[in-house]
Amino acid sequence: MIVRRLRLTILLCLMLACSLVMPITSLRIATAQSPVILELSTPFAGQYVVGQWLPLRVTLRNQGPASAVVTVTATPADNFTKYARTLRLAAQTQQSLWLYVFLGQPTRAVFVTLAIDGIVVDQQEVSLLLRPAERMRAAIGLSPVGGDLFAAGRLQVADLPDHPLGLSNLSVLAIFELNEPLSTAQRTALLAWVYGGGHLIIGGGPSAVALQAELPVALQAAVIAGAAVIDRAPLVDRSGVALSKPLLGVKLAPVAGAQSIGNAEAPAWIEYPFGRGRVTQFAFAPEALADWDGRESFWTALAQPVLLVSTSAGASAQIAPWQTQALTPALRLLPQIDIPAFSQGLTSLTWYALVVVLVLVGGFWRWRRVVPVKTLVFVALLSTGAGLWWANANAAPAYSALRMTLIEVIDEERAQAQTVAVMLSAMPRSETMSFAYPVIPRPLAANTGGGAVSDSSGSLPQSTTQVTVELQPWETQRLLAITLIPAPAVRATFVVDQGRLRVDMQNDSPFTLRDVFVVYGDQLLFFGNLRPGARSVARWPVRFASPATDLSLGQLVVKDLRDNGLLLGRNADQIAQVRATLIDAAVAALPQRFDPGPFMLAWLDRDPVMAEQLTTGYGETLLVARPPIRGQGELALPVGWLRLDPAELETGQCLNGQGVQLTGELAELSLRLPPDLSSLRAETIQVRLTSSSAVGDTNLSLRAYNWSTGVWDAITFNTLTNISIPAATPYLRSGELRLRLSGALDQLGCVIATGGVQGVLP
Amino acid sequence: MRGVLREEWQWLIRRRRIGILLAGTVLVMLLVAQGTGQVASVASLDSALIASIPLLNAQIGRLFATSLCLALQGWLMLLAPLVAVSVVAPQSAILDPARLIARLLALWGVMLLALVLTLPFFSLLPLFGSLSLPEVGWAFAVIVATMLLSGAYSLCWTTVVRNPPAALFLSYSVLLIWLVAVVLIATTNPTPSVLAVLAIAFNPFAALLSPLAPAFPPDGPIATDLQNLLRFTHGAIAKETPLYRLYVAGSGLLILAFVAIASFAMRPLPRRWQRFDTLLLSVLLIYLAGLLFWREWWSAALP
Repeated sequence: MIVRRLRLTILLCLMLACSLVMPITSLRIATAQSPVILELSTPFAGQYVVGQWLPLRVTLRNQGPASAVVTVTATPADNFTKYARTLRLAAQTQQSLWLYVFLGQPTRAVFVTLAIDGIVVDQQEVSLLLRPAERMRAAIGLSPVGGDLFAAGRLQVADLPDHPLGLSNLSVLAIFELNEPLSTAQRTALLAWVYGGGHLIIGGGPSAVALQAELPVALQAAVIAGAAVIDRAPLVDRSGVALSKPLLGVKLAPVAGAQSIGNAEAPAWIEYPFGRGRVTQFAFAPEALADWDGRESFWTALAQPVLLVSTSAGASAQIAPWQTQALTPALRLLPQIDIPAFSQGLTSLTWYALVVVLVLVGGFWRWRRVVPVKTLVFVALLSTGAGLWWANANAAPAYSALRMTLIEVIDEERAQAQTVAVMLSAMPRSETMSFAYPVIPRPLAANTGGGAVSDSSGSLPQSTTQVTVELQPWETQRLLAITLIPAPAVRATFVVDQGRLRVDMQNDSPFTLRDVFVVYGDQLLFFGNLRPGARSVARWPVRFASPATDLSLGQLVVKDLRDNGLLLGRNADQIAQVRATLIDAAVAALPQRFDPGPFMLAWLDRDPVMAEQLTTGYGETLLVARPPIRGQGELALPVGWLRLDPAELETGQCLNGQGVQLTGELAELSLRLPPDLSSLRAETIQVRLTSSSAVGDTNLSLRAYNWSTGVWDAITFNTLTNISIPAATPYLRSGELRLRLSGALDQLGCVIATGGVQGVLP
Repeated sequence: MRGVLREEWQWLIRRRRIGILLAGTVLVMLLVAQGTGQVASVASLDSALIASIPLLNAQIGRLFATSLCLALQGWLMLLAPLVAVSVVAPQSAILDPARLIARLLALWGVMLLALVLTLPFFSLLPLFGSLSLPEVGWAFAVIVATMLLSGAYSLCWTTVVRNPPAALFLSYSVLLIWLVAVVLIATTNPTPSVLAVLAIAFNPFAALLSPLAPAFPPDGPIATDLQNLLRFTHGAIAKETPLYRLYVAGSGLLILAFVAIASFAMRPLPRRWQRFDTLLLSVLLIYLAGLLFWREWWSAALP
């Protein structure tokens, strides 16, 4: 008995010792030094804008003797979405990468974890600082002013993210000095960022040539043609402070579509609209203004955002958040799944029931009251097998998906694609989306806030082609994936031909373009379908029927398709809504923004972003490009090309942004041509002012601004709807016509102002 | 044992009422399927409803699954006492444990036959594409558990009371009282305790709905009907709670308890410990050990 007790005591002691040793051992494993060192930095000192992507520069050093699979995961505080990048790090090597974190709401920090082979070995916190979009300016090189005009000054090239999303926080980026060449990815990021609404400022002076050489060709606003003494007037105008010292710099010759500021022989800078953004290229170096008292106010006036749109998350200096928000109404348009014909099944079941009842009754009568069990089981199992086969063969999917891809051509080589995927399943389902190019995904809620999209590990991988989404029953999942892709080889060009504009379309891409439109303002030119290799040419019509003023451009396009019987079928309404929403997200007029186009819109027969096409659900891929206007010589632009510039309006817009609500007794209107036609020398101008109220216009007077004399000249006219301005050369400069209307303007109500020009394009 | 089982089975299967009950099972399922089909047809003709709900087919599929499962389980619960009173043969005066088990197996056999006859109705479900195999599997596990439990429960009453009409009355009455009680517990408990959850889990209808409920649709008229049903069965318990695990795990214990009560009641006086009791105790201990080993599985349903 004593021996037994002793054994038991020893056994218990051993168990106790084991239970004590095990936690100590595991603690040692946890506290052992990780072979991989994680270093984090943010290029803009942790400053961010709500609704944009925070770039995190991650440097990983593997000091261990073996290679390791490393996963870096970033999670905003108070949010469950994890953004992750995984890579294999060889032994004794170092690698830097960028991780982008979407900050959909104000947050204090981002938590970054480092995991090796799935085990978390390090966690760090990156503190953040909220800043308004319009004040998020950064400078590469020395900031030309003190204070915090540039929220992040003295940046190095290495601080520049390799994806446009990393620049999305910025409204203005100035490049004054480069300590090393830009990488290809950084150039592409710059290009896409400017196209999306960024304001890029390029310094001049001695480093002008070197700086310009680093830029993508599409962002080069001017040709440098030697040295010059720069016109100082624009600087004085902007700052209000006199500048006595001569300003030396380079002589800039603007490229097509760009505009010289100051004396055309030696402009102070060139403004070049590109996409929704702008490049401002200086002729002089910022240091040349170092002793000038007005430099603070000059840079403050100049380094302003080009685009500032309001979204539900706040103001944004990039168009992408606004586009995502514009797509929101279409997110609920999931395609309907047909209800299977179950009545055939019910009929078969009725026959089965009759057979079973007959067998039971027959068995009772024929086989002496014994239920024929084996027969019944055989009939039941046979019927079940047949039923399962039929039901599976005709089964309806319990999953519906909507995919919308918007591809915006940035230049001849590159395009930016945004894919919005909406998925709904009646059952738990793991959906893997295969992309043709590495994407950066984020969850997208109906109100563009957060969402619960994740893969099985709970994180969204970046720079990967496979994104897995776990679908819970009846919970709609929305995902936005952004990527840069090679631009489809589709060329749309306006050509000056025999005094009129001609549109040349050439489809060299492997995709069939469906329902191709070239649009300018509210004028639509339909090209139909273009197969790969197809070419189509059309002259721009002299006269357009007045479109409905209460419809958006997307709605006008869809209406045109419907009127011509090109949008038919059971889901026509749904397709029409999706298409109209996509078009409006891509090219709709923004408040206080002159951007009527021209645009080329085409629907691709398959999505180039996706590696696999949709098998269930519905998808649309819209290709949008900005056709350039080429050529020279005499040109007659019909009414509709001179359009109201909402940025110059002092009163409110009306009629879906196409008109202006005039009040009081004096109003000034500014009509503009697209940037590519800004050099047009006008000979005759026609103006049409259409009023919403039928009042007489005899008590109104009209004046046009003479750019040569600086005087408002009186214009005589019979009716507001047909005003002709002969000898119009002095009235149109840089594609802008200014009109002054005086009289009882309140009676006019909403006025739509358009115009046409006859002249010469040099 | 085999001879006794054959004798009991032959006795039971030759009964006229068994044939009628089996035919009735098929006809009841046909009526339920046709009725659900009518509801689905009305829903599928409503163009506004179709436009507003992307996966109406899945909702209809879930309605079919829920209706058929509930109807089958309810019918089996109704059927069990009727079959149990048919199992008592006048010549079988000697009530040894082997005969009791044989009767129970014969009773379960008839109910399993009824279940097999209804399988073709369930073959319609994949057509709507809205049910996963685990969901259907667990729903059938609950139905089978209910079938076995109802059989043991009914035979227990028949053996204890020995008067078939009285046994029938008592088994239906107690069952009805229990169902009403658990519905009241579910609907009147805003924050159910562990005991309340246990009671609700042993409502066969709540247990049956629990594997199907997590994927009940949130919007639409069909969804509203299904949500209303859950209010009576689940009350404040989240629809994701796997009540069926408690039910399936506890059913085995209850079946053993009913068999023990029946074997105790049927044996002649004075009642002594028998080899059957040892065997039953062993099975009970093994079952309890199993429950202890897999306690994480079934205790997931507890708050």
